[in-house]
Amino acid sequence: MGPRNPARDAVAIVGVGSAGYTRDARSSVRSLTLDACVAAIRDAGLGAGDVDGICGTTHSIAPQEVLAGLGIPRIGWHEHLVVPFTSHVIAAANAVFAGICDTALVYHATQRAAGTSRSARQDPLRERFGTRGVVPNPDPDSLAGTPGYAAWADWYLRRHGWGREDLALVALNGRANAMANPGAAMCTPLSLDDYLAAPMIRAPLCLFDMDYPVDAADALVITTTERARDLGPTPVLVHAASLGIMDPPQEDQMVDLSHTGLRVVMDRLWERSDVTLADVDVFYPYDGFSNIALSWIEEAGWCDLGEAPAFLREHWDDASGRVLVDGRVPFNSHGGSLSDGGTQAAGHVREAVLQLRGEAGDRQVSGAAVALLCLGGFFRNAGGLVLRRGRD
Amino acid sequence: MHEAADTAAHEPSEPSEPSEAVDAIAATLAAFPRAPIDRDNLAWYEGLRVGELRIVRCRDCGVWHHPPGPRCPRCWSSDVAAVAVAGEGTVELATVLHVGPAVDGIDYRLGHPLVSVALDGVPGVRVTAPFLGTDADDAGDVPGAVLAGRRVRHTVVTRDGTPTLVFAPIPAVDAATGAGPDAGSPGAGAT
Repeated sequence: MGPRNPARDAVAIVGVGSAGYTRDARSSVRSLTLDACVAAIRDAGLGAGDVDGICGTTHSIAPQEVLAGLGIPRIGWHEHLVVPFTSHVIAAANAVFAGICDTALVYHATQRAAGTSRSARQDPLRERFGTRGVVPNPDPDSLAGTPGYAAWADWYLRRHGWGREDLALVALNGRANAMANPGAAMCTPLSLDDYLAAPMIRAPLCLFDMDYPVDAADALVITTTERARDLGPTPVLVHAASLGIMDPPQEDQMVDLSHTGLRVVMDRLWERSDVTLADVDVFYPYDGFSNIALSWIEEAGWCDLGEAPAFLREHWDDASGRVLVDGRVPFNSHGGSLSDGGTQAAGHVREAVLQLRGEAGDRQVSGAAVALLCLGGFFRNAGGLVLRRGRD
Repeated sequence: MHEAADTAAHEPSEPSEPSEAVDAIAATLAAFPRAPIDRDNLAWYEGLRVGELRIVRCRDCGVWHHPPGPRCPRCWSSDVAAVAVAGEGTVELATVLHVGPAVDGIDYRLGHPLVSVALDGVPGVRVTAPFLGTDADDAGDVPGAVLAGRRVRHTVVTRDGTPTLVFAPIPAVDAATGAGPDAGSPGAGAT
């Protein structure tokens, strides 16, 4: 059976909302979630009675809590799934395409856990709240989870002869983009010297290679492309999607960086897409750890394996301190996880929607019509989306 | 007949687990009070308790796999068994953790180096454990540049009252070529 994609362009994102990204919202995850959901539903020009499907992340509150919090009378579809946010967009698009529901509300919220910073630990309410859906690996001797990314960053640098100053390009690009994004949580200038002086967290990854913990929430409203024609916002069409894992997926068993879920995602995404890399106007490589972004840049086809730092330098715009491919295509135009804030890919999706609607303010890419989102990491949660502007 | 005892009394009798096996399970559970031990990885922990490194091998097709699982991922045979291996190998992946779960015996200020090792005679798997005898200052900002390729041997140390697998550099005197780059390294004499 060849690649099938009957849902191509049949489903649209018609509402987008954010609670804003901050270090300390002095708010609850429930409050952040509902703020984003209200903003997204209003953005779509809809009301509580129009929503008949709800899907959120386990970082946030459960669908029935959103239903109760917003007085959504009844729904016919719901899911509560782990991050990254790719899964939720795809689940909702599938539910709408299949007719299980007509209009789905999709959301993610995260709150800095006590333990992620000294200030977070001093907040007694945060302490009581705990880590919600986020359970750190209790084994100090395992590469499972975050240490696995550090070990493969180390492998990447050794294998290709790069150093920390090359890894730094991802963080510097993200910060320069965030400085043009009023919604970003971290907007102060970041220099290479700042980067090199930062504390090492999991060598070779330092503080600036790891997503920036924030209090944040984002939400989307997803419906059929047909129904989107009757709504106000420019529809953003879900053109192609993929979620990929390659065997072996364990952090310390993976063969090497040419055998990741990223490769599966890109192979299947391009097979199911009418657009090519040359059509991409805005690119979102997930940067929860900076080395993931380097691998996504390579697997997406911008350059060969191991060549991402050279590619970034070749297309570096010195005036703005960031990459602009051929002087045009930005990578993580909002600042990414490292500077917009770490929201497990929700921020990347929100920004892509805003860019494709032409509503990204000073950072708007002129005429942006195609977004490529490469989300998640090597082992168990890679995913990809091609989104298209649905109206000229 | 809703009492649990009555229900149990009416179950068909199963051959009970030999008492020595029950004792071994109890000893292993007691030795690793926080480990997620189940039937699939019990032999791994029992091995560590007695100082052995045990890797699961398929008795039908001979393929090794790790972490331990109940079925061969290659041929799907469920006739798999944990086998004690020599535990010598070569470092392939490395990182040094400066943050992590609080455990007595780990000082993250000094750095907690982890290595993934390809074991001699056990193709296709890596085993991950702390690297003994090297701190963050030795390992540098790209730890693999120092540690990858190093020859190591498994050993089991007691940390926080629990048997803990670690890899120690094989002293250079063991190498057929005589003095090697590991000579005099801080961990060379560790056991």
